Amino acid sequence: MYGWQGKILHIDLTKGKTWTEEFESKLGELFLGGRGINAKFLWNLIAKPGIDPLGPENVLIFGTGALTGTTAPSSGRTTITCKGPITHLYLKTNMGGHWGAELKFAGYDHLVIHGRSENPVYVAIQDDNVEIRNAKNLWGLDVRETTNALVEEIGDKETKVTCIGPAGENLVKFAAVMNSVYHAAGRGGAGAVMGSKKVKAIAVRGTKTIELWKPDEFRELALQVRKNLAKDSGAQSLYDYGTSGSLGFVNDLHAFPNRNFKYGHIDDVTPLTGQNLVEKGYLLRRVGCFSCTTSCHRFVEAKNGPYAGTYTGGPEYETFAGLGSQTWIIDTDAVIKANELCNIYGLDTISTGITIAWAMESYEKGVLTKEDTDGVELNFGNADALIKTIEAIAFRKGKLGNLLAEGVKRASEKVGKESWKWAICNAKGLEQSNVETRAAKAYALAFAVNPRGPDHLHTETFAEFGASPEAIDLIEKLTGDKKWASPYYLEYRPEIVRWHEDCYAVTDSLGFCAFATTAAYAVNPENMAQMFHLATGIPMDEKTIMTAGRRIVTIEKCFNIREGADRKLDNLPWRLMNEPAASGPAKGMMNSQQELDSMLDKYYALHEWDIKTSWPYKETLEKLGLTDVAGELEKLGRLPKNMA
Amino acid sequence: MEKPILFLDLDACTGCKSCVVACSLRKEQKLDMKVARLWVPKKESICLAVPVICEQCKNAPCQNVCPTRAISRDPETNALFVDQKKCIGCKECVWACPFGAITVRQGVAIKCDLCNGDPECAKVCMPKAIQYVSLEAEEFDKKWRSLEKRVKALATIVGGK
Repeated sequence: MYGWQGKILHIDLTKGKTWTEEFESKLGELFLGGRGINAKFLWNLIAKPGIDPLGPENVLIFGTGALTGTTAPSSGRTTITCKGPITHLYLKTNMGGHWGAELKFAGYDHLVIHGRSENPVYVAIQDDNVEIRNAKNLWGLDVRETTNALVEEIGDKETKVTCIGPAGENLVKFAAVMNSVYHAAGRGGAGAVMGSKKVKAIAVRGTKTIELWKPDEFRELALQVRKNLAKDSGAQSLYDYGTSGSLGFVNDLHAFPNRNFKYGHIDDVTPLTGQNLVEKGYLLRRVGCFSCTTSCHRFVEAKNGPYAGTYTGGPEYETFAGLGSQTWIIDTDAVIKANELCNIYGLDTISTGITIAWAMESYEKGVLTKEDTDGVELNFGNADALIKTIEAIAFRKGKLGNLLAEGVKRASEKVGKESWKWAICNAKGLEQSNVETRAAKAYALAFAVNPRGPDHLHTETFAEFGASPEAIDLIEKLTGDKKWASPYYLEYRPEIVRWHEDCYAVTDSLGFCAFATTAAYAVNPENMAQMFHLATGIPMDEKTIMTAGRRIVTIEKCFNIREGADRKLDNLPWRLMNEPAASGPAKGMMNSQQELDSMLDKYYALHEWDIKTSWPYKETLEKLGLTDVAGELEKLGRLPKNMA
Repeated sequence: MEKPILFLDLDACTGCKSCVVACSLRKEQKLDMKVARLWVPKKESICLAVPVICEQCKNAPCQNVCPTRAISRDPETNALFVDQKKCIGCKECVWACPFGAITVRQGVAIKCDLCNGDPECAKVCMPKAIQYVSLEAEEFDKKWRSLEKRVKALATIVGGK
């Protein structure tokens, strides 16, 4: 087989069995790889709605991209898919690092974990040799310790480790799966699913070959795309200053949320910027995921002050926001420390930050008392309280740790007193990422319809914030006029969102990084289709690959529909729908229900989904080759009446 | 003017391993990390990676120890290359190389031959950790400083915990 390895590895922990399954190229043609094939597997493997995400019926699917392991630039990413423990809906969460390529070189495109082990185990994969081993000695170790211990134990320094930290073991609802120590599949709590299965780690060493259909032509095209990507203005900035390099610019727009989305501007944001990491000597190295040209990841050290000696990957834009501005800790060293703890305990820095910011606001409002916080003075700006609270969450310590480990939706429901009004999650339940959607309308729409909950990793409409020339050119191509790149318009948002979500699905399925396709645009549907064709031998062009993207987005939507979801779940956090932005050019703007509805109506219509329920019509599904999915939804009474 | 060499800058290396896959694709028309002519060992907990590749030594130990005289120098590029017909796979060169830049696969030695003056690894390395450049004679201390740094990094990665 060309491009793919042609093998899926299954591990059943309940039975203690492992086996492989042949990969059919038709599956690759329809769902491409990575996220797409994972979504199809999830649809097939969890046929019954309503299962417990932390029970043995859930599956944890790892998918490498169709082009992972090749010279295609920034193509080394891995998608993890399961039913999510926060939302009880579809969850895909994606990570960079080097583990995915290693899995592919070991001979597997996908890995599916079924069932649940009684005792802690880890999986050791050395090419064809797959073993489920006792992890008694690893349980309780942090991510860095686990990785180092397994590299020693396997005895090959090139071993790559994916694992959970204490947060995953303790079933913290927003626990991350980590790989290559500092690379997180952070969103949605896949780490808790891994912990519920009692799998501490998956250690992989791969020494096999990946064959390509037209190796020389592929090499030449990939090199050309690589050079174009390196020239893109967005990619250059990501290399120089990382994701937090754009943070000052967003702050200038008064769109850098702080103190739990109450405010959007910080007078001196310098300590939270990527420029500051470079200029003040925090940055030790720029770090690249497998086959990446951009190397946006950072490796930093706090050399002085109370946290001297702390070193970690990060902080990213989202981490400086979640653990910095939202908790009002405008302090580089403290954020580095908090980031290190989240990395080694295996916590999503977005959900951690949003949940703690909610707790801080609740504490200042008197809704949480000192008794509820186990004596922690949980005010905004208290760095010591931030550190203590992260530890409490990861280890589910005391009242505070147990409350917050459930995530902001459940915590606010438990505490009551209208605290859901400042819980930054939508009806699906996931903590929102740190984007000021009141001041960016395509983001608002994209966040509302994201099947896993509100964040920027299903659709990134970068023109609205990045405003790079390449991003604006794309808006012109999609709408006919550059002016629609402005974030304040409601017009054309559905069209812009839909293009980006199709493209994002292709991106994730081929293993590309969204920073190569929808933040920088040098990798585009046309050249992704060409590279896919030259790698696999399966004919593909821009139109067919974007249709595959649509198919993937649609089956993800259908998973949620089978679980009972409808239009009501496609909304935004209460605060962002009911309280206006505080200052700056977007002052007074909100995402009112009426405004959101006007975009949703057009978005569903554009997808050929029913406007009332948001469910796809039978004809829509059949056109995408999802006839079996339509049949199943029909049996459940979850197909809308005929298309008008 | 000196002939171009592969100049390696440890501080610029992001450990992405693009060079390794690109090398195997160029030389073997497939993706296989173990047949690449360079390697990039890495210690992930400190994000330290170091490219290891033939230095095309002036007085080359691999060439000196080869019992069948299978290693010779390309007059155009100055690259040391292996004559696969003469190589008997004895691994003397592997032991002799102080950098670990030559290996034996399927009975023959494989090493960097600078892709006939168009090295693929340098072309794919966007952070410029690998550059194919001519250094003037007086700049050669730059090369030695780079080498010293890389050898220390390699010891950190391959040695100790």
